[in-house]
Amino acid sequence: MPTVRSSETSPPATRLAPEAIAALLAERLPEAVTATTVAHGQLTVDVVPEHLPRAAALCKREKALAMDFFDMMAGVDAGEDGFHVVTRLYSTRHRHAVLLRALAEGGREAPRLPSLTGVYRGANWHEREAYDMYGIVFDGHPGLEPRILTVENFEGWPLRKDFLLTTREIKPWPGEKVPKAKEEPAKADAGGEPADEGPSEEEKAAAKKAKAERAKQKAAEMRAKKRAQREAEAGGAQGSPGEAAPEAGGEGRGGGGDEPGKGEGA
Amino acid sequence: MGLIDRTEVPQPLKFVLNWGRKYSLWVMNFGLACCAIEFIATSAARHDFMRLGVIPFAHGPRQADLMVVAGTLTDKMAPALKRLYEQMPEPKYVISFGSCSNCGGPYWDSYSVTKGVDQILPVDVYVPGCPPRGEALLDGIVQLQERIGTESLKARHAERYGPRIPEPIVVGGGDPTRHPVDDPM
Repeated sequence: MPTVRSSETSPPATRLAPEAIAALLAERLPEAVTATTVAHGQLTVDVVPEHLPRAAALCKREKALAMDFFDMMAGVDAGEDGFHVVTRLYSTRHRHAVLLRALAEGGREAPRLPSLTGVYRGANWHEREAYDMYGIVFDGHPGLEPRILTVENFEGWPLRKDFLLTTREIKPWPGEKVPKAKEEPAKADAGGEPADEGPSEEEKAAAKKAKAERAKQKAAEMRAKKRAQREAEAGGAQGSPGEAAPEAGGEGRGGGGDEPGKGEGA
Repeated sequence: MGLIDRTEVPQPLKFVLNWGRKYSLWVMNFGLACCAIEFIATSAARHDFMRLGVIPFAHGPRQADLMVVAGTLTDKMAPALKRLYEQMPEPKYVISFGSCSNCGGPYWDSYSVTKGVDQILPVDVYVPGCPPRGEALLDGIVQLQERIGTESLKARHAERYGPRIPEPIVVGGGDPTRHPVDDPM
């Protein structure tokens, strides 16, 4: 009986296909939705920035969508175009999701977007993070300052592609050295084979010399080891009375232990 | 601490004082990243640095003698580290554990990571590694204890606001702030 009552009050949970969500959004907000793409079962809806809160509110309040969970938000540096902000909304009831993508107005100079905090309270800190990392200003946000991820007086927007890392200006990035080192032998190969053979012969000779030296060293080491062993053996032979001495001491101690026992017995 | 900061304590008394100090190092765990896990492992059953007299998990900085900075210190966290260090009573010691706290480590070009805690605190022992093994921390603790054992509290007090007069210990030797590009292994 309770199950029947719950089905009466709210429609049963139905997971909508991405295409169905796209059609629904395009039908209800034709002025907001500019494009929809489905990739790997994930729907992305491009939204006109000024209508972003309306689109989010529709996703939240429309009963068939019921996207009550503000999952995550990410900024994307889109180069000359400026910055994208991608918001993922999820329905805990129907278990479907949508990505809303909006290009911030104002290009690279002063990117702005309307805030989603009026629709989802959880958007607050996500937007503050986007402001910290990209400098995107969200209109209607309760307070983007002070910055939460970086130091309060931090200058610049670290996740922008044109952000200058001062340490890398002083010291070159070691990762760049690897491709260059790979290129150089390739050029030498193209230059000519005889030039390659010359150093290889020299290298062979050097390697032979090094090998011979190593062998000599090893032989010397082995000789030294053997000598040490022989000496140790000789020392052991000499020291055998010394080894016997602790045994004698042990016997002595044993005798010492016996004596009190005798004393007790007496 | 009063009198012993101003006058040189006679040797037998100094020995006893230092002996007591070096085997009851209450440690403040300043774990910031993965090195903290290695630090915790060192405090746990296998390595168990309590057998060396290092008492983990002081109730706060005001009960601690030793601070182990284990992990990546960011510029955002740096003021908190400085503040907690300043709350510790003198004499106090700092072990910089791991490459990140030594010099920034793999985050040497990051916009947010402090390139070495020695920019903020005077460091007594550097333990290099990414992360260092527990044995390295034990070695650092033992070397620090040796230093505490022969220490003059008067001299220690005099250098309180300056640089450490004995050079900081580096476990395994070398320069812990060495950059791999300038000086490859």
